[in-house]
Amino acid sequence: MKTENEKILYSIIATVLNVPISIIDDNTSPDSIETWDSLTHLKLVMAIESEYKINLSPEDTMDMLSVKLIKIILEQYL
Amino acid sequence: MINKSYLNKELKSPFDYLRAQQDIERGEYKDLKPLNIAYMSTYTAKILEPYIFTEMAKRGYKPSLYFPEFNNFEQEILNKESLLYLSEPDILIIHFRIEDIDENLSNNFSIFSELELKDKQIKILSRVKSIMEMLSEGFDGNVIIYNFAFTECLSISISDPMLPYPHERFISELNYKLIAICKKIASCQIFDYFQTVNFVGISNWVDLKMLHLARIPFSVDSQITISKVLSKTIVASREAPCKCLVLDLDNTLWGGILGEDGVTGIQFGNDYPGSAFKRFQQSVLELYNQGVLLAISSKNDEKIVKDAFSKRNDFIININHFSALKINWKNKADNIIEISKELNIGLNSIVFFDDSNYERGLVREMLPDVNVVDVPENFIDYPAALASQEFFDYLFLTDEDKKRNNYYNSDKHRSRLSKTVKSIDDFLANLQMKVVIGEANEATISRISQLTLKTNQFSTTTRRHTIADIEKMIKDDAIVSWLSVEDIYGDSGIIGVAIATKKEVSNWYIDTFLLSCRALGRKLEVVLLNNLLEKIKLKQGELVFGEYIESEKNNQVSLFYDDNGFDKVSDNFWKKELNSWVPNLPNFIELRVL
Repeated sequence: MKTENEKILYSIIATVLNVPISIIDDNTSPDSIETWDSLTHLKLVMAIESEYKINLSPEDTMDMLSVKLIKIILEQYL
Repeated sequence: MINKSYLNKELKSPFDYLRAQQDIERGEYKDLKPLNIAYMSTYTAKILEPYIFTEMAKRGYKPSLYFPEFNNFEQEILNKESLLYLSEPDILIIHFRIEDIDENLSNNFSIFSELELKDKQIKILSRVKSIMEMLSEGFDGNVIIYNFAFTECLSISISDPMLPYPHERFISELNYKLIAICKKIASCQIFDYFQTVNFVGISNWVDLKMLHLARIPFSVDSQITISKVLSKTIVASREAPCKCLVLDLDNTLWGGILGEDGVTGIQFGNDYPGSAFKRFQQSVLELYNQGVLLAISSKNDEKIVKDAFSKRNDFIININHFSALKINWKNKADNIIEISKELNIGLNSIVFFDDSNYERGLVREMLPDVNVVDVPENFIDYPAALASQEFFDYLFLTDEDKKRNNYYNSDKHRSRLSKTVKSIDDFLANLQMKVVIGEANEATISRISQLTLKTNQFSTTTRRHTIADIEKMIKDDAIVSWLSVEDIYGDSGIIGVAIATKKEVSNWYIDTFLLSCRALGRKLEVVLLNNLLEKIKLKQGELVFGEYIESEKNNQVSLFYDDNGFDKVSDNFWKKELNSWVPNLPNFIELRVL
């Protein structure tokens, strides 16, 4: 993923998780961020779907449980 | 009243809303009124939070939202120590979703007999009733309850209408009976979920993935729509609606310009484009019938307007529908102040609808309390813009409301206004007008001629000049000037013309002085006249004569020369001596002379 695209994705993730963008990296996950609970995860999925105008499959929706996984899954849709 | 200045831009995506919510929570928008809202439902509703929060903020509130665990109605309400009571809600929202109460009630109603369905209906309503009774004993806030919408369906049922007890009837009877339950509790209102779902369409309402994964029964768009309509409902339950709609006429109540196109030339009727304006008048009449007072603020000749209303008996709105008429050439802010005095209502009860963004800008700037409708570019969208504004929203209509118009039309009240208002010069200064004045040349002569041919209202003599006429005048040493203006709303191009001809050695005569009607009220005529006199003086002119030739449409310039320091010499003539004259230009206009 290009740096520019990564920046956009990070800003979406940071906004949804309500944390500073500086702490987002590949390893960011529900384990490392307290606000990333199941409800926030759904908000994140909806935000990503709406910003990228894609429709994630239910499996992918459940699997994208870290920033790295989000990137890998997202690449398949773009 | 709705707080217009906040978050005016349209929010479309979850990301937009989350960001807006975070801005608001950081305190970037001041003066939001706090409001505690609790939301109880048969499903996971917390996902709605950023949308409800932001939509309420747009309407001037900063809500604290509390979402109890879903389906916990009785536990939360009966336990006076529950988080519900601790959150001290001003508003309690209740949503029983039929599919959650009885999962068999989605899709296909044909598997049930009429008796079974009526039994299910009783069960749903008795649960609602018992909860409402519990609330009426221990809860002192307002209750807003969702009515029932058609349930999810996977396809269009073609057999439903002929069933002994169709889906449609099941829902409408539920809703009818719900009203009876709610009427027993004074502080209970209904949120029209039924219409909200219909407006969007049931097939777009649910996102099946979110429904199956998380039991969230709304798509993102539905979440946004619910939050908008719910916020509208909450605000209408707490605030008095505005009282008066002030309307422009030309290109608003009808298409075209009455002063130019005439009574029969304006667009109104059953065919495009007149049909769009007819629909607009119907929307205005709807507001009138619910008790909204109507007023006119229009730059027009009052006589011509009254004549038009009396001749156009196809109009939906007639002159008697209006409680106040301000048909003149004054600025619209002054007119609105007059209207508010005449009708004895506050400026914050007034809603202003005008197709011109200049006029809207002027009113917004000078009268920040007045509610200005954002009028779309295309007039075909005007009726919807009027219908979807929220300033006249109400949940109940009393008989007094409906009769308000009779009262005002028979007994117009006056009162004093204490509001401080900025001066018109301040407003005009903010427009950052850049005026250019030049003399006729090949590039501009056709526009100059066109303006003399077209302009009827602000024109001292209404003389028509062809290009050849103008060329001849220039040859005879006449001064032919044009004026163009650009401001923060855009470039208007050439909108003014002044022509002076030399009579005797030092005597000059103003043959033509005109401004296009979209440029009125900005003191541009002062700039153009000053420049003209300067040019005459430079050519050793000592005495200038002005003439007013009355026409049916140019009444507004009958006092033009009086207003601008000329001395009257006879009925239609004025003179100005230039020896002692010094130019006097408004300091807020940046002038460039070519």
